[in-house]
Amino acid sequence: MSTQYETVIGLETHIELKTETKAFCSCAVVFGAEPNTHCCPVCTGMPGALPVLNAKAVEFAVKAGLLLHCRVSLRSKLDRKNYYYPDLPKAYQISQYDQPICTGGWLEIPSGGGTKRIRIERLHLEEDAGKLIHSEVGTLLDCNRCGVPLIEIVTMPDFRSAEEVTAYLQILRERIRFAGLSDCRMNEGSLRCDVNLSIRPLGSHTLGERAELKNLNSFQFAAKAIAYEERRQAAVLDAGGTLFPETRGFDEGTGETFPMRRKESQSDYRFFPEPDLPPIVLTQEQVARWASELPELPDVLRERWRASYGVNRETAEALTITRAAAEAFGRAAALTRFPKLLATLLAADPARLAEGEIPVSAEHLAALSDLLGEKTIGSGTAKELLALLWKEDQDPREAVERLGLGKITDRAVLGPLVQEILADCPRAAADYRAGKKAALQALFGQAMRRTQGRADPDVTRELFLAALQAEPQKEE
Amino acid sequence: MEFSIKAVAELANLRLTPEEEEQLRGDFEEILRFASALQEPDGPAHEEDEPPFLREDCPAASLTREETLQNAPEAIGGCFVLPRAIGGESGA
Amino acid sequence: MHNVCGMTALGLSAALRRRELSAREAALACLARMEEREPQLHAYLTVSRDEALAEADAADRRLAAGEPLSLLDGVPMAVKDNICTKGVRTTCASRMLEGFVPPYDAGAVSRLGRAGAVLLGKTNLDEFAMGSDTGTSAFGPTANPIDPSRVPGGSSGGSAAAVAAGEALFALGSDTGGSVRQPAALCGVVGLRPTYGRISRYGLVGFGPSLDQVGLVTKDARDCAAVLAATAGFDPHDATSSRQSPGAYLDGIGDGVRGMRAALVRESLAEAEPCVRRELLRAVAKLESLGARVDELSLPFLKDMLPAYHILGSAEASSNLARFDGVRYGFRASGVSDWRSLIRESRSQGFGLEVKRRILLGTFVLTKEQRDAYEKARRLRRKTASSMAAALSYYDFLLLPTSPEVAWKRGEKRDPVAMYRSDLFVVPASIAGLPAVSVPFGEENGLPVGVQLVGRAFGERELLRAACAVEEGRK
Ligand SMILES: [Mg+2]
Ligand SMILES: [Zn+2]
Repeated sequence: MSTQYETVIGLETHIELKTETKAFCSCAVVFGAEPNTHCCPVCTGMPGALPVLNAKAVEFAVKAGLLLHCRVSLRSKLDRKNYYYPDLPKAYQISQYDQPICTGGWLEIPSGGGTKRIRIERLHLEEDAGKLIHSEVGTLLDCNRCGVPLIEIVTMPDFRSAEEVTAYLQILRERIRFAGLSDCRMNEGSLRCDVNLSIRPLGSHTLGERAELKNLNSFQFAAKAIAYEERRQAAVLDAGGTLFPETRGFDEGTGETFPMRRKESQSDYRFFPEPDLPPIVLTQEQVARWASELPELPDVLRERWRASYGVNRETAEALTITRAAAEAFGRAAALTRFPKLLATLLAADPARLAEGEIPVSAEHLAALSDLLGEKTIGSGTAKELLALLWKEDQDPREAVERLGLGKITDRAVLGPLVQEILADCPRAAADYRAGKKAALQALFGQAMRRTQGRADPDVTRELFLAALQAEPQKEE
Repeated sequence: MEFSIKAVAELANLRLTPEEEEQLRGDFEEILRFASALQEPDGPAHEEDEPPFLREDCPAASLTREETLQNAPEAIGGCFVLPRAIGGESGA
Repeated sequence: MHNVCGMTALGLSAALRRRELSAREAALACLARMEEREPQLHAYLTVSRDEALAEADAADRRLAAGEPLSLLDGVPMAVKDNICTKGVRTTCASRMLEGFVPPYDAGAVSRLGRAGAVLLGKTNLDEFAMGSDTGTSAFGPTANPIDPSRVPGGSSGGSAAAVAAGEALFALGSDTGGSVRQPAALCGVVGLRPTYGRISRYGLVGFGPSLDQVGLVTKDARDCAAVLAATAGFDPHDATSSRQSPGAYLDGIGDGVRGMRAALVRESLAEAEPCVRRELLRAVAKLESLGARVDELSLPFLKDMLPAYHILGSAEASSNLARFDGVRYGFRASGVSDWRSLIRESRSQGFGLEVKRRILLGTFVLTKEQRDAYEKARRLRRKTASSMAAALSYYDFLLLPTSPEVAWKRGEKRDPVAMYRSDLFVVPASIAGLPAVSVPFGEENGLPVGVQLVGRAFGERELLRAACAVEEGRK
């Protein structure tokens, strides 16, 4: 009989901070630029160049820590992590060793019908390396990414499954993005995670020898790599073999992990305090101010909107795609009598919401959903108006007036229209009278088409029904 | 005191001749003797912190690509070139 | 006719303003002196003649218009070749950087450029400033202008020799563990290491960032004050540079030492050669006669600072010099097929023995196994700094020799440890980050002796005032 194993996983996540400039120099951070066009003596490690820390990187790291309930160190320092690799120009990475900027937080994830806290051991600030491009002529080095600020978030070994890992990463990504601290795009490398995984017989409390899985470029690959590694380690143990600490890569083609190097050959990083940079000293007031600048968490907002406006989960998720979208909806929802209608209207175009700042004022959004709720306009018109407001913010009531977009409720207008349609579509009218109730929909659709959707649906339907009953068709 | 000069040279990415190795062994032993004889004065000794200078997050001009690459031993297509890098670990 | 090469920077400055001679003539005079003396001295690694004359002409136009940029406008200077100069080769006297042309100017060089000083060229040094006699330069040693059979000291030996020989009116050097003060003493000129953070380190290819400072080599204390005024100040490219505003270093520099309190470091007497001791005591007597009070003070861990300095300096050097890997600039070994050999071979062939020795020592003390030595040295350093600061809360300055001996014969075989010992008296100020100046005082068989004054952090103005008094009292 084979042994039952438990999987134990800890995560190290690297996230590129969305600052304008790099961590230690004033080069702009630009993704996908021509190679080596955003470089200077500092980020290419030229002789004599010195790092100067970006204030925004510190602020963003602290804010990320606050989102994860971390303790913020009022005094932390930067250290040099020394190792050679061609993508690391100074041959040391400026990082934080024994005094990280944030320690001891947690993140709650759904697990087995309930929730579970994943403990965060530390969060520290460091710099990214350059990019190596392998080609026939040799390896090419692009230093544009050198020195981009990163945070590294290290969890305790609290995960027991790939699902928990995925849930954690999703919530983490959403919070960091929502707070505007990073784009967290795994495909562009602005969020990268390493998985430390070991297994142990169920019931055991000692940790097994762990493998560090690297280069996992999507949530899906992370889950696949975990599943493969669980099986591989179990097979080794079942066969009476022994596991040893090692670093393994993941092959996206085969879905398998493969050995990169044994852990014991790992170099001694010879950490020591970075002499070019004074310690990072923060005040309690500064930290409190940064805390006050953080948005409400998206999961909290979604729950509130569900409870008070009846907004469903899907719609709420679309509205929390960015902080700007959520805040725009939140402000407008407080002003309109029809917040749920507004939610549905806004969520209908999630791509537009994700673009960035919302260019329509809360008052105008509220007015628009009021027009819709009052049935002054129909939902088609509402969508058109929203697109118009997006291009140029204006009072939707005035726009309705000016453009004549209001609903046509006037029977003196709609009556002749109905007659005209019945005359033009004798077949549909006949069908209806013959019992095909669906034919009414075709006639109704004509009315909408001929009024660009402005015909009041209730009045129009009533007029059609009356006309169809009052005027039975003569047999030819 | 046991130590491996080879291992240190490996970490420092330097190749040593046997003669250099022998000479360095003497130097290392000397510095360890020095270190073990270092008088440690007692009493608290702490560094005081000034609020550090932090840079505003405002982009400034980078070097031109020509300037960045002007000292490169080899450059192709706007990149530094080196023999194929295999294995080891990427940064960060 | 003016003897430009024999003038001080301020003397030349006055003559330029009076239009008694032109900046072009001053530059040409130094270039002519180089032609005469360089074959013997080898103080310069690069002479940028054309650029210098163009800068001198620009200065002449400003001077003619009565709009000089500063006291140093049109004054010819030299810069140690481990300080980056945009467009001018910067080699650190290493094969590793033989053809390296920086795309940027060091902070101190920018400031001097804005002050109108004329860059004549780049001076020789020990490879990557690691040495005490300018003998480890990959491009050959420098000789002492006073006696060319002797060393100029180091590592800023080229800067000290150039100024002493009149091949420049002043020079920038760098001082990690005495590299400006010691050669200044051996060549008979003034050498200042300012307070850590007083002059930007940006563009200085240092080796121990917590110890490195750009230093000044000048003909006298007044010139030193003028050059400090032009180079000191906060640089947003150096986070360790001080935001404290620089002083008016020339104001009251001739006011003397009456009422000042000085302390002679007792331990230094026993460690110095008799001639050095004699001159130091003569300087004490002179200071007393000028109205200063001089006490004796004990700094018992003076001798421990040297190993502590070497542990810390090498540790930082091992990391700072790791970037020289043959990938982005500098020497690249040929005939290698993978990146790891490329890096290892480029470093092994590009660096000289002394540089390798320090890199290995530094790597060694940072490994997990040897960590204690490094941590101990750090603690000793902090303690030293606080006791020196405590002494200086009472005394205006401390007095020590600069070098335990006068310039020694070139080629005299010395083991590295004996060489390190020559830095005994200069290392304490480096470790403590304090300003220190070496002033020529007396001689032995025609060879100059220097005395060293160590002052309070950012107290360069008082320090240079005292140095000026010592200097004027030496005759
Ligand atoms: Mg990391
Ligand atoms: Zn840069």
